[in-house]
Amino acid sequence: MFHTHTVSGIVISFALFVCFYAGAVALFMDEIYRWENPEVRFESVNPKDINYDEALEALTLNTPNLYLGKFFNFVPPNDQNPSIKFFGKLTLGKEKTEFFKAHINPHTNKVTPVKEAKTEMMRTIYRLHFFSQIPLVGKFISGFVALFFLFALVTGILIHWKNMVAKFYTFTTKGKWKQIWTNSHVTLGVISLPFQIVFAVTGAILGLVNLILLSSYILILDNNHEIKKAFKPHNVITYDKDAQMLENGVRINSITDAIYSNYPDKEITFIRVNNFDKQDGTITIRLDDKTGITGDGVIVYGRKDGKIIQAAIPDNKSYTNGVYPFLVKLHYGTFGGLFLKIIYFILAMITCYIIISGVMIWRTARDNKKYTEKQRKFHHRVTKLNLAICLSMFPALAVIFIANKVVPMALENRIFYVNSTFFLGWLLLSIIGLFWNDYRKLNRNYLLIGSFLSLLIPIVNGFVTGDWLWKTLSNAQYYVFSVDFTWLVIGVSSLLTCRYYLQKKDDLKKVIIN
Amino acid sequence: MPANKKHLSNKGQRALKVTAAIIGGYFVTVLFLNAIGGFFLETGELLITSMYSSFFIWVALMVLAFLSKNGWKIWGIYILLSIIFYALIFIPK
Repeated sequence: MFHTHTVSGIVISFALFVCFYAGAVALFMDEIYRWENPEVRFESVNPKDINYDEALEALTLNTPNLYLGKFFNFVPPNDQNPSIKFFGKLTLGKEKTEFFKAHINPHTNKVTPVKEAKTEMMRTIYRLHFFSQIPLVGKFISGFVALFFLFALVTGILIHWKNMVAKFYTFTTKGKWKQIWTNSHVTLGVISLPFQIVFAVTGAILGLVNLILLSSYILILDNNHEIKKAFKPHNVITYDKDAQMLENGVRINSITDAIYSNYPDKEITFIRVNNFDKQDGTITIRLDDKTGITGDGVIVYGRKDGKIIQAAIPDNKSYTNGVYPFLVKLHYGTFGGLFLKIIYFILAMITCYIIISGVMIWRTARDNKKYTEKQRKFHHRVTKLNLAICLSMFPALAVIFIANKVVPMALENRIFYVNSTFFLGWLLLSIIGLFWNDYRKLNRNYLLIGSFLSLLIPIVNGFVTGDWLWKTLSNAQYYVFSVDFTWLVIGVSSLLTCRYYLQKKDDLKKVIIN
Repeated sequence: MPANKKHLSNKGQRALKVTAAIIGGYFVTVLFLNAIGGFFLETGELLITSMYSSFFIWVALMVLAFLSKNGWKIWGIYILLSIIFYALIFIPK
């Protein structure tokens, strides 16, 4: 039993660390967007005042070959991203279509076609946390990592069960390192256990849901209609390509107005229109209040008469339609505002610490005469590799933030350059780490590099975009300000940690919390 | 505190247990859910319920596989269970 906890832990440790570390940062994906993209640093409008019909008119004037017959989407603006996002199709000659993306300024209805996205920094980090950069299997790997994480949690509880209480009360930062590692591993592990189980299970679901559904599909179902009905209830409607044309349908705005008067405390997060100019057209509205765990819903209206065709009403969903969004909300932390996300972030950092301390226990416990020289060298190399990959993530994150600002916005293909800077930088940092044989030195050097890079971030942002810290604060651009300020605090605190702590005794915990 | 040598099994046994835990565990889990769930739940409810409960059952079966003394035995038990659940799915039809 003991062995399985250790083996499953060591095997998944660095992957799990990447999941939690990148995932913790990705919690703030939307909040960081204004910092990421200087073009959206303008004042947001009240979403209730947006006129989608006017926006659509502006779109058709701007792009004459816009094809609205099949489908198009609107993503309404919000505090984090104040422009309206449009996604639809263009006709290019006969039978040939192309996807079309545009941003619309809600103040002026000015349409800006988007050939390629300008920045995807947070998306890269978000995708990294389920290894989606690995083609095809990345998501499955992350799912299995989550599954073995659940296994490691269960076996961890089983093996530590007898002396869990004793260790909990004797937790101290004094004494031998091995003792500190074990005690804090167990104590913090117990404290954050509920959080970790939630993430192990929801992570496994998001990664491996297809594997489980596949079995039902093969065993008891004839087609995937039931699966669609359970997971995407609004997607089961079929549309007729040759349906009769519709002269005067319901306007999009009358639907959004109805939504706002029926659900005054919810916001619309997504609008999809299918078969816009036909009799069987629909307008699908997703709404969410972002404060309740079941506060999201989907309502499908008929375009012809504005009647509700299908609905998962917020706070009143059926079991079948309610569970999946519930689990997704648990995973993304979108049910308790910013404060909840900060708690999630801290708990994720504690989990990162537990992973690292687990590796350190493994190594320290094997550093004695019972093992041959060869075995000990192997243990040392594994630990070093692990620490190099994990601890270099902190400076690597600072690198992508800097790259996002340094690579000019006008450059074509800039996402590619930003991403390659990040991944190559991370690789380089990990390789350098392999030459530092002492764990303390490794930790301190990464911390130092990271702190210098993080202090650079607000400066680079100030130089490139002109939005210096004090300016954003006085202009109440808090989304931009808080990113710069957080990096400043991180940089200063890790410098102080280096100066006052790591000179004498090394404490990994401080690093991870930074 | 590495585990005591005498509690560790040899390589063949270990391979059997690992495969029984992961592969055997998966089949017992999904067959169990689809067989038993089919009696009590509607299809939509069954799909949603198995989506989240499967991981708990799978992990429990993994732990059981590693707790067992003999890798052959646990494979035998898991195959037997799979056959029973498989039969339960198809006999009522």
